[in-house]
Amino acid sequence: MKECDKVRDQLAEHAVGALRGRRESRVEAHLRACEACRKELAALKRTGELLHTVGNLEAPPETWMAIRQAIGAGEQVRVTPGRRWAWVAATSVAALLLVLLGMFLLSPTGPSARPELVVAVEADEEMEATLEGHLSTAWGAPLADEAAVGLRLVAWENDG
Amino acid sequence: MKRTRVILAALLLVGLGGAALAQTSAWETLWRTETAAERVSVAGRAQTRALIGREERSAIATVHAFGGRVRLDYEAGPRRWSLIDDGSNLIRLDPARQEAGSMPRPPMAVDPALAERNYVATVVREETIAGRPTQLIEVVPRSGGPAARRLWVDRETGFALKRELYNVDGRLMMGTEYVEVTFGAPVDPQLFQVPTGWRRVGPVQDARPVDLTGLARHLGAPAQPPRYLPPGYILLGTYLQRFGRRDSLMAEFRYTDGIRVLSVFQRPRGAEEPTPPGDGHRGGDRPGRGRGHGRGSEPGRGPEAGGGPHGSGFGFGPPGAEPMTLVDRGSTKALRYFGRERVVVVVGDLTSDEMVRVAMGAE
Repeated sequence: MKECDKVRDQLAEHAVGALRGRRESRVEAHLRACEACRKELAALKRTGELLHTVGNLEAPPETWMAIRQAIGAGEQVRVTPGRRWAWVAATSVAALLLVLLGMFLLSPTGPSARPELVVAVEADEEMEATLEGHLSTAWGAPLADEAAVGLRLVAWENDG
Repeated sequence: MKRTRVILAALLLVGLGGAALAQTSAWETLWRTETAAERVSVAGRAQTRALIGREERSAIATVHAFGGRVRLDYEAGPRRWSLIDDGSNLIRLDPARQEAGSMPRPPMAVDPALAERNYVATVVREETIAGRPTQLIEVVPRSGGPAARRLWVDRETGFALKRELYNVDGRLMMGTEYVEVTFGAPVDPQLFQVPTGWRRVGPVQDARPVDLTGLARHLGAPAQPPRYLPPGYILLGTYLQRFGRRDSLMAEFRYTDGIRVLSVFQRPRGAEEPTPPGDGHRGGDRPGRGRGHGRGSEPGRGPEAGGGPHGSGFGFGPPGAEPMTLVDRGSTKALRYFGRERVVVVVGDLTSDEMVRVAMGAE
């Protein structure tokens, strides 16, 4: 196996700070010399940051099923105590990536489709017109307070 | 043992029946208030207040009502103005200008069963208002949350002598309380007419019922009903709204949950160019539109965009990235969303999250 392949196998653990000792030193030494692996690491970190901005989301049940199956299949593999944390970290990253992928698939334009919400102190003409248009419907609404609605209607006119 | 069970079952049935009867009775009393002024003439003075923006405005209203027609004469300090509901039009009288601006009375045929499905009405207690015995009835959403309406209903006439309307956050948004009232006295029919010699202006606002095909024809693009609505809301109708100094057109989908009304306005993107900020409009032959400032901007559309009265958040950007704007008037919120195909403005009494869901669902 090439050195890059070996290092990339451990990049996810490195990204979450799960590597220790000689393994960590070896990965860091390689990263200093290999631009491609540095880019790979940067991409992993960006994914992590993006997940932070997304917040906590409920993963679909089939995702958890897939993770359970993957963990179940892995029971046959002899896991040394030193690598247990590595497995946990790698599984966590895989799960998060699955959630992120699910969000992209479910959303037509990705997770940033909802625009920023700005609270305006005053309405511009279009919003004012719609507010006024809506207000007139309050006159005939069930159990309306017509005297107070009327006050708002005339105040609208008289405020300018 | 068997006899005990029978007695318990009978008591349970009586209890359930009584509760149902109390519900019916509270709702019946409330619905009677809607037609009380058709059955009996009313003359009185009421203290009325409404949340407008961040301020609460109040005025003394002299009320005359008979045969389904209502006249309200407001006094707030030195200012005077009046409003007439003649059964088919709402007419605003401006004594200073001797002008009468009218608009069609909004049709609002709501099935009472809808309100009863979504809300619970309960007689809370008896109170005296304007020297008369009343029943206080509270209307609370079945889904939970604070009371939406509180009405004090005159025991004898079924007329509501005091009303309080709350928004979804439980904030009092408007209320009226009679301080004196007389029932059954003759009311001059001239009160419900525009005084002779006054100038008629308007319509202030024009909302016509138009079906989806008609809306598409008028707007030049199909209107899209929102895919998401808050629980309990149903469609009241679709309208073509004409407003703004350029007579701009918007489709309106109007919904109700039996008590509250939700409007979803929309227009195709690019249907109207933004007006530079500060170029407000009011007066003239179409009174009551502007508030001394322009319509701000439609961001990401060109060099004239940006700025406006918003203070922040409007800039240049690709379509779809424009911020949504939320204006909270206390009693009503308005939220504008710039979609790819259309601009959507949701106006109603919902939480901000619900408004966003409705707006984005119309894209």
